Amino acid sequence: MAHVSWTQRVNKYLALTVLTLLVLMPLALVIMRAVTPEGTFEGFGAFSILGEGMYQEILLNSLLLGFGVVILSSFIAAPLAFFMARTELGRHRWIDIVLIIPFMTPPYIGAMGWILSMQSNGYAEQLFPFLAPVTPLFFTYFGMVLVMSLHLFPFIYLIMRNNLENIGGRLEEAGLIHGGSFGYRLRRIVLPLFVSGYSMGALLVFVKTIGEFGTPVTLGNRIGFYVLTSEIHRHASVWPIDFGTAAILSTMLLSVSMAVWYFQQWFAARTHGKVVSGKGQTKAYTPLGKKQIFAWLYLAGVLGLAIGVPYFSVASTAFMDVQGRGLAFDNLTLRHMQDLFTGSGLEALWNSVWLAGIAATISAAIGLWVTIIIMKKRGTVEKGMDFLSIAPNTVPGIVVVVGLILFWNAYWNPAPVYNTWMMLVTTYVVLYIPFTVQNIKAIYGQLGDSLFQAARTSGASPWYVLRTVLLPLILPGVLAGWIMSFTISMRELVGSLILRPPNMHTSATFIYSQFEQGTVAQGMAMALVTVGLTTVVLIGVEKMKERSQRYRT
Amino acid sequence: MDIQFRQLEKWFGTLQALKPLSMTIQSGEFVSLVGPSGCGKTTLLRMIAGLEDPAAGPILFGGTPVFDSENHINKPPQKRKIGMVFQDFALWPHMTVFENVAYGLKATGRKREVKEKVTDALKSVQLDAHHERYPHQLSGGQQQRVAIARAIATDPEIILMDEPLSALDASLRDEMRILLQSLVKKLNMTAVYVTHDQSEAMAMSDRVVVMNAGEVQQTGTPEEIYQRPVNDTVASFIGKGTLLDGLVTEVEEVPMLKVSTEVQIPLSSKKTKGLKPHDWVHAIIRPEQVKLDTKPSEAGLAGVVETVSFLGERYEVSVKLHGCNERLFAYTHEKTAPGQEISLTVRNTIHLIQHKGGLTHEETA
Repeated sequence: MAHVSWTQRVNKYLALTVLTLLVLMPLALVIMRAVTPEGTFEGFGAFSILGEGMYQEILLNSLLLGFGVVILSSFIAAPLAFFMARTELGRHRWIDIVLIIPFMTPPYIGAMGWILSMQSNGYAEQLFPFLAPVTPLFFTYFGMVLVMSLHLFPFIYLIMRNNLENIGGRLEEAGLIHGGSFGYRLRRIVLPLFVSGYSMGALLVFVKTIGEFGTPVTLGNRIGFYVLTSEIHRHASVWPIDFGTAAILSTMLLSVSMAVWYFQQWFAARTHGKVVSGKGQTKAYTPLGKKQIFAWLYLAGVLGLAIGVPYFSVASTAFMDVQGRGLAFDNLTLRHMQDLFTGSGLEALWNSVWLAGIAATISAAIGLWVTIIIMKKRGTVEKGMDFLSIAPNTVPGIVVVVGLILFWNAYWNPAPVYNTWMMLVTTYVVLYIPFTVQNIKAIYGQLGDSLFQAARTSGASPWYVLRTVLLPLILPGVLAGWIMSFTISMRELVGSLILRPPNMHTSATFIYSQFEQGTVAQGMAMALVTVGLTTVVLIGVEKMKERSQRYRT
Repeated sequence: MDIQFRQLEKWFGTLQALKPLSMTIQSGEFVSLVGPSGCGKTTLLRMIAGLEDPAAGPILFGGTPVFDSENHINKPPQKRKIGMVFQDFALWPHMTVFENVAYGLKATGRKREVKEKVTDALKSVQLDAHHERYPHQLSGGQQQRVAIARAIATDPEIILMDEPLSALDASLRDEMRILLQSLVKKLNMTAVYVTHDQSEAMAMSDRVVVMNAGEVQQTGTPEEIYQRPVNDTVASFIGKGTLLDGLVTEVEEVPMLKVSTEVQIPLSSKKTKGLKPHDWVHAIIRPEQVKLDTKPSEAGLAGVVETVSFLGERYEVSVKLHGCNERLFAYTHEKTAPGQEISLTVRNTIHLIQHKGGLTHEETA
């Protein structure tokens, strides 16, 4: 088996080359450009521009935003995690699904919904006039933190809840039986175990916040709160274009996210962070009884802010005839929807569908190819490929986009891709290969080696094993990966905005430009259609997953 | 079909997983590889299957090399025409019972035989009624029977089994053991069976290979291995019993094993052949070689009962000997109680293993 055939080796290096072209080159060029911003090598000296007042403020803004979002989203998530892990609410598993909706909502759409609510004479003031003195507060740092926290809290919630569930039950009971008082158990068992998991989640939320683009570009730019991502966007796409500075700022983001990623790997590899548990983990349980009502009210409040407010605004705007007349039943219309499907909106939507379709197919194919290679053997090359295939998910999207410009727009790159639709497909493929790889890997990892060895000893050639055993078994993962990259590509903003060819709109850039131009109704109609479409597809995946599990024990 | 190895060895990095081994497994023979985990038994089996490449040494099936490093022969597993049963069953979850069993026939292009062979194989494991089910709809024992049917469906002359019963409940294990044993003999297959359970190995095999730390300790029939272990490792791994350190005081007239001043065991002169007076030996004393007497007698060894375990047909008693720091096991039909003073008589035919290093009594105590 150690015997590696000639074709296997060619196959491996071919896959490595593809990943190098798609992922490594762009990211490497970002760093190269950062140390040679004007064409000559400046090394770390190039980073001295970060000392300038403007950039200091931007860095500070990014950090402030990161900290603010970590704190607020933790505060939002902690009670929810407690309710779901330890009280009667935990029986209602649908709450988990509902809590994912804010995370699945594209942040730019969430931010737009909030802006429409909170702007002067927006929906908040129309429905609750007494809020008028408060609404301007939204158009500050606090509004940014609020919108982003409402987007990211599900992430920290899931980590907290899993953590609490794992700590619960036996571990605490063991502490109890061995004589620990409540305070002692909290201090010596619950807190140490909780803090380690929580700190990891907080760190990831921090990185996601400083790498996030949708909210800064919609809300942040509007209120003059500039951060790293919006600044990179400005340097990369608004005249005078300055790729050198964009690359320097990108390298900053890149190194922070890589450092955090590395720390996470190291952390996960530490054995004592893991709870060794066998079967029959009991849940610790704190019944609330009648006090449940407060838990439900809290949940309703959070959902109202995270889902209710943005979607209400988006839907109201999409179905409102004359914006100035405000909320009234006789002001309802389907006019904007009709316009959307007869005008340029339809073209943008259709562009998104086919671009996402091609991109998802390519990334599922590459994902499948790469995963099979990296799961077969764990050599240095395979580990490198593994890293490259996951990297676009750990690096902020805007950094990948800057890299893609530097690589595909380089004068020495002969491929006629830049400024065509192929550029968008390439962008989506690079950004979402990690999703297909992760989906396929998750299923592949559950398959024991003996399944394949049994096939070999039964007389099957490697190709026959691939066809009859491996592919049928990992097909659900391939499909899940395809659909996931399709839905996310459908509404991808940052790459589409910067890399779209002239006169080509996608649904996300359509929404963005309509919003920026003030024709919000069409934009919001598009937002509804996109979110609706992707939701239908996602529900379809869940159903399919259930069915594909039928033969699993 | 017989299997031969000559100076077969395997390294994992700097760890020698299998020290050079030469042996022949006769056609139709049932051979068990037994030893503690990490002893190299599974590695040896996987090399026979072609799932692991040896470092050196040819492997021959019926005289034809399937692996020969010198002549660059290395037949992949699918060309070796073997059947294999895995510890975790390794049934393909997306195929029905029928498709699982038919797989080998289809993979090797014997499509015409599929129906007949699969039906036969399923009948021989009494599963023909379940051929349309998926593996997860079967019980653990039924799943393993599908795996066995799959291994025999292609009529291999060699069947390899990697701890096939260890994932089953104790009650099922006996049933499956009998099924496997009879099936292998009926189909006249050469069987190599890996297990860490020595009683399973002894019950099933024509020949047992005891391994430890990558090295074969002893090869022989179950009786040979049990009655005449060649060293301490084999003696303590196979069967129940106690290893006693002692000095042979006399070899001809009244041969005697002296464990301590108080504990002396008479020996048969047959057992002391080749030994000299004052040789240090290890004696392996099996429970059935010890007779327990509740009335203290002058002739026997005195001791006190420590534990009593009821085994159904008899009791197993552990007895702490007076006058030395050792414990013997004995079977009895009489109920005794812990703390009871009793006397033991040890048969003079106990097996002796000569001490190689020539250690003194003090050093080994």
